[in-house]
Amino acid sequence: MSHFTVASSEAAVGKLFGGIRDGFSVDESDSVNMGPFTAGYEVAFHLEGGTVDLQNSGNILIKELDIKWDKLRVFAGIDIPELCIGGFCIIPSPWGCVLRAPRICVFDDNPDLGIDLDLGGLLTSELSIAAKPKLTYFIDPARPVGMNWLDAEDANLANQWRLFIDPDWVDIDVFDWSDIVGDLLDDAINTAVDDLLWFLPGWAKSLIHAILGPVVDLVRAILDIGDDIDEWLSNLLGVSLGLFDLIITLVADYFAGKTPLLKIEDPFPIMPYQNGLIPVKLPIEKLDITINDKEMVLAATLGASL
Amino acid sequence: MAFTDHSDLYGAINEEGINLVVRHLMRLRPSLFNYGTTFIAQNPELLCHKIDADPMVYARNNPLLTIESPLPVLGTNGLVGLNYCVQLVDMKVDFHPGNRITLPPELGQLKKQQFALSAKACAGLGCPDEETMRMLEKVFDRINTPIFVDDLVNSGSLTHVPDRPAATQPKPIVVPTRKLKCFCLEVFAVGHIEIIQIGNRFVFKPKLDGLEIVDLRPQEMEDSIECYVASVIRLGLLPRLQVAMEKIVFDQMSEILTVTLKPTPGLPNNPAIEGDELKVFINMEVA
Amino acid sequence: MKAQINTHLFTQTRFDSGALAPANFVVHPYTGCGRYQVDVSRHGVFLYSCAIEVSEIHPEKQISIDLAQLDAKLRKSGQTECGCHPDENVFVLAENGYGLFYASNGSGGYSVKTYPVDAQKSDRAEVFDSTALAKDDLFGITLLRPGDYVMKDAKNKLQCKIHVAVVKPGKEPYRPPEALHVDAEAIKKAGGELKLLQAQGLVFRCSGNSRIVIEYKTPTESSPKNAGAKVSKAKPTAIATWKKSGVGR
Repeated sequence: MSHFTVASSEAAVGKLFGGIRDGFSVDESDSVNMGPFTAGYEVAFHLEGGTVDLQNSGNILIKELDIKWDKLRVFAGIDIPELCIGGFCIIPSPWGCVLRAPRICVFDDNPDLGIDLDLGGLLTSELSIAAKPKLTYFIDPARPVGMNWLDAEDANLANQWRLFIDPDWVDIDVFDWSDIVGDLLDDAINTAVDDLLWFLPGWAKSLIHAILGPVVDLVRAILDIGDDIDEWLSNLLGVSLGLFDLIITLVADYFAGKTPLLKIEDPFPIMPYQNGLIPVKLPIEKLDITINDKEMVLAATLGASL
Repeated sequence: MAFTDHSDLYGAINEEGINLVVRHLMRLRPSLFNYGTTFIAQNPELLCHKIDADPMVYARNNPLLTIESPLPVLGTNGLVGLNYCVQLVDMKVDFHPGNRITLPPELGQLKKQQFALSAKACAGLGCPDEETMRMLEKVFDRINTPIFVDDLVNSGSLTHVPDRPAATQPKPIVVPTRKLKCFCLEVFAVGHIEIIQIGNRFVFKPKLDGLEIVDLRPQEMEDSIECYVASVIRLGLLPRLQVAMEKIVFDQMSEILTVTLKPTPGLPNNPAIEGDELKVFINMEVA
Repeated sequence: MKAQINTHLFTQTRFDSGALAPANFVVHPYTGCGRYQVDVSRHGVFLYSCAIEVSEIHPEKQISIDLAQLDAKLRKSGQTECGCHPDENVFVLAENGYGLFYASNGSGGYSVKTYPVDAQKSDRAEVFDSTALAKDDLFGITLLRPGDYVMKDAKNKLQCKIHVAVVKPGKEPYRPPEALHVDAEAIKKAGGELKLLQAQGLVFRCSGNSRIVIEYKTPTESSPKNAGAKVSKAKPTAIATWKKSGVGR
């Protein structure tokens, strides 16, 4: 039979969750070869908001957890087609061209166009998590075997009961990108071409633009963007680059194993050192947790000796 | 009905739990419940009741007793003191409705929101043996000036006592003893718990509502001793047993610095002693 | 880091059939079978030789010899005579096939003379001399810069104006129209004025002993001095960056 009963309302659990949520942040980068182009990302984000919904099934449901992108940069390195002149037929014949002019190319080598999009602040994303509470007993690896409870107290190596939120599933919803993403991409492409050709005289740039055609269309075709850039970006980040899977894994690992919702020292201190008198601590032999749709209840059983 | 229907946090400890807490308290802070002279502290085998202390008390040289001054032998002008000890043992707590402790009729029925406490108050006196007493008598014979009749007659006044040269005063002594004369009294008390604010923290403060020592006669002596024991408990023991309120909910919010914990207002009883439990209802306030 | 752009394509203003540079070429038909030596010079200084073998058994109707690239390759290997590695620097051509000579990069200045290999050095008759194009030899060019040019063939007292019109970027990629083929007769008919679009080819069929020089004179009125999308004088510091590594200007 337990000795202590401690209950936290749904709001209190939400507050606890908010405390650990605020400690979560990510800073990652990766790239992948997509064939006609390479793509990569640099992301940094933290979490805000979120509502905690305790359920009679014993689950903890966290909804509308906002991903706030501190940095979301997407790179694409695109091979643009050869730009060559000449190559026209000098002497045609019914059987094909007999004599053809040489092709002279503008670039000595196939150039890459580097596109760098800063999308932080333009993407709205939300996480949902369904989790179960998980209690573990933590013994600090630095604690020597056989160390007594008071020496452990002094060395800050007391054992702990730890309560984690162990996700069953994590969902990430990517909502509409801001309307300006399309324009941003177009600007980035045009600027990339200008960066490539910046030292050429104006007439030469104009000719190259004319030969390339609308570069934006060309690049979009290479990137296979289609009509819906939002969908393309989401697909690029989510499927090709696996960014969303990475986020889900990082979030799940953080809550399930790295940062507990609650840490209870064992033995539990109720009176500190006082004028040289040793602290008064209570051994917690057993801890149980139950969740219903109103509250989270911990039941603690005290041990008879330390 | 949920525990937290009226508050953000709820904490409760049942009777078995509180008695375990008391047991751990007594083992970790024995000096709160055991008092005696230095001699007794140095010879704990003389105690009326063996102290069951946690090994860490010994390891860290914590005192088993609170040291008190020896009991002065009246009339010796502070020159003679006796060793003694006073111990509170077998302490038990019972929450309303009381079903573990049978209160004496003087205390009546345990009222709502009250807890009952029973303990044995054991005391032991280091009474000097006959040999020691005779030696002491000789000492005091030398110290004190006898009154001779012929001195009174020769002076012509029965009231005049001629001056004699004063003998050298010995140092005060505490009479050593090989055994205390021990006795125990059954003590019963009833009380309630309040939450008071100290700075920005809230602490549980047990309050004594009544105390009864069973079957002491004459009644006036019982009353006086009860008064003394109550004073010890109220002034010496309870003030050293204040525990921060958040401890009952395992400091859940202690790491969230922007939250302040306060007792939930507007409840009929907070804390509440009912159903054999001590309960507390706590609200969080965002700082 | 920037790509290597063929800058001479954009900076040349004088084009000479006797000093080949990027964007122009000469063509000679090889009608007789046999082995021909090709002497390549640059700015009048002999550089190297290679060979053309013309035979009815060879199927190739055209060989295109990049004089600049071959120059660089041979310089790297230290060779100047194709006799050292005959298999590498002998080009094969069908009877009545065409030899096309050009320079794909660099500042140009290349000229070519071809003569039968077995002819004695003292009396070898050149079959082909790019500094004096013979009848039915061709001179081809692709003019990029919009504006007005003057084409002259001093030896034949031929002169005409060439107007290259601006092409503006449109919704579709620009594909130059078919090349303009002219000879002296056609020029006369055109009133001494030819009209081209940027990057449109021009092929001149020579009447004999020709050396054609085309010079840029003036930009067109609508020739954009600063045309092109978002011209900036300074390197932009926008969000686009060049990504390719290992390539320098």
